[in-house]
Amino acid sequence: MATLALCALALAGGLVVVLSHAQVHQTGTNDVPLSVQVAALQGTQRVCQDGEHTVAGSAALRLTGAGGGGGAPAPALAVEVLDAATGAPLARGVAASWQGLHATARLRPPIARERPARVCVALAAPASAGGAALYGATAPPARSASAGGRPLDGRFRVEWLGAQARSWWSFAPTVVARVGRGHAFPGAWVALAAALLTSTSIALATWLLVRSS
Amino acid sequence: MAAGALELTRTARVPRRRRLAALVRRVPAAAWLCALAAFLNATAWSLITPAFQVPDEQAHYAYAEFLAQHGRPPVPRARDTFSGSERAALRDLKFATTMFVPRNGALWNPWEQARLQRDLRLERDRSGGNGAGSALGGEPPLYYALEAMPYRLAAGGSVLDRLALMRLASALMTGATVLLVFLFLRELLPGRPWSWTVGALGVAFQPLFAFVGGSVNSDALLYAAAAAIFYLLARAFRRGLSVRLAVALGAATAVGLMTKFNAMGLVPGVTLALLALAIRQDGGLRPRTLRLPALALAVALAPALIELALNVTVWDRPAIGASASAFRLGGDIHPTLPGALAYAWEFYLAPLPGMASPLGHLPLMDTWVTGFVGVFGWVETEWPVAVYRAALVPLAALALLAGRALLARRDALRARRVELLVYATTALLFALSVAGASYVGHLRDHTNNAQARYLLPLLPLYGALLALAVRGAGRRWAPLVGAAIVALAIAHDLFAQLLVLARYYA
Repeated sequence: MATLALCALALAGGLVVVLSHAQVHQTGTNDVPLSVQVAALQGTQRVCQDGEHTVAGSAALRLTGAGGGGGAPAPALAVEVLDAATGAPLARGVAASWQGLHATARLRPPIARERPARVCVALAAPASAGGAALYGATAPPARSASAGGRPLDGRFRVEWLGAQARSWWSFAPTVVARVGRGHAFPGAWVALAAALLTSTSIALATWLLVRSS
Repeated sequence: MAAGALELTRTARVPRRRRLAALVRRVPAAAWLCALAAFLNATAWSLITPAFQVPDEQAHYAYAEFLAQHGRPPVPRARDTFSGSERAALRDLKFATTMFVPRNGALWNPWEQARLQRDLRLERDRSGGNGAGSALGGEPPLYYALEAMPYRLAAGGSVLDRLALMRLASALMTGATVLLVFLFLRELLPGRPWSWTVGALGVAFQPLFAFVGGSVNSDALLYAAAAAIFYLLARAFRRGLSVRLAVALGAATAVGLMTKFNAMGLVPGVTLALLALAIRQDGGLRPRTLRLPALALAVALAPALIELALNVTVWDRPAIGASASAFRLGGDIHPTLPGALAYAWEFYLAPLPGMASPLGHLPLMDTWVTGFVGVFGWVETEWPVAVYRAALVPLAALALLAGRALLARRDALRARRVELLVYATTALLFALSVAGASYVGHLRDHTNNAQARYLLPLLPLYGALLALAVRGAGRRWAPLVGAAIVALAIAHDLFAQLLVLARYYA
């Protein structure tokens, strides 16, 4: 009994530590995998991609690729999000630095609602020595990103990010809502039922162990 | 006359019911509760895992749908095609862009959910498609025939309604597996009921087992069939091989053979066990010694022979489905025994100097231990490497404690050496058959089918390892070690669920 209580305490402690860890969570992606280089940004070239969807609550946009090369520093990227229907700018940002393969631009203003959009990327300082590459996957020309009206080989990956780092505790309502989608009877009940089932099975196992001993 | 017949039927039914009730009562309550815990846990996994984000679930669903709609199994084809409703579900669930890409989540946005619901309402076709003829066309139909029942129950609903009920049926099979593991441990290690509970609960909360058990996958029934085989073997070794046990063993093997071709890997071990049992019982090998083994094998093979006949005469499928599966041999490949043995070595252990390394430098760790500790989704959802390394510590401790238990009871072991040899050989031959299937695929198109779930039919032996570890701790420490094993298994399962939640929903 004492052992079980100790184990339960250790497990609860582990869960608290893991779930209290704060990080910036994705609010959405365009689901493009990373398999090829799609675009090479040089000089004043601007690469745009249609068929995007803004995600409400997003405050940053993360691109994957490579910057610099040949000794040149990784250049800053200028990102613009446009309304797909009107072409009006919805948000802008600059990814000033790269973290590994990622360049993250904080968007101003943050995205308030979901709507079809176009995402455009260019070098923030066209005169910078090094260029940058964007990674994504091949796609038919009609769906590909384009540069100067000419379709490229595919689509680049776009990840929408939340405003600030959040612990799993504060992010739990979002996870509960997402778990509830894609099911026969969608809704928050799915995550709650899963939690209840897991808790019941654990309680049953514990009771059985105590009784058997 | 009719009233008399009715009366006779009633009186025949009452004792049968009583017999069934007595049979159920003979199973300890702890076994039922372990099974219930496994069922609840697998059901939780079925809710957490997004639809079709389990290896080949889209193909298993398609086979069951084909069987339910057409009343026959599919025919092997060059490529898989699906019904309109399943295609719509796969498209709107972002199946193709989510699998293999850990940074792509499931449905996160309300508009994606709205699109899915609209399309599932509009697209009702269930008869199209070839039932995953390429992936599974040659596989036997038993699991899918069982899954056709929940499929029909939700016939008026959408793909997701049907999938949810079918996953629930798999979860039931997971519960049955744990029940049989408990009974196996009771026969194998009599005298310490506490260790049976620990072993069965350790299996119930093994996350890879629960993950597969919460999905539509024929492995769920294969695990149950394998657990039944191990239980019946242990029972026969303890109580002697009777006609009833021979028939039951044959039936359990038949269920395996009618579920998945991988079950063929269990047949040599079962045959060996039957021979060992019969020889022990008769005190030598005489023609009449083979009576019960022959009976068991006849029961095991009869359904497969009926399927063979139906394949040829009614279903227009290859006589032996294996010829259209991963085991397919053809004129263009030339397998050899030395080649197969060398491949099996590389498949499980580590390539020796001069050997090729189709699975990397240390498959034992990188594929098998890692996979058993837990790789989820389409084998792309994993923990950081450090977690798998850390898992070696409790695994090694379990092995040491189990070894200590065996060493302490080496006198008793000597008396049961044939039985233990049979379990070890059965496990080895089954593992070799898994490597053999991959070897054929490797020769054909340089693919390697190495996933830890293929070895989970040997879960009863894992349960035995856990139960032995409890015994190895000695009388004083056994309660502590038993509680720690179950607590660790529960923690393992819980953190695996969190890993999957983070992968698909955050």
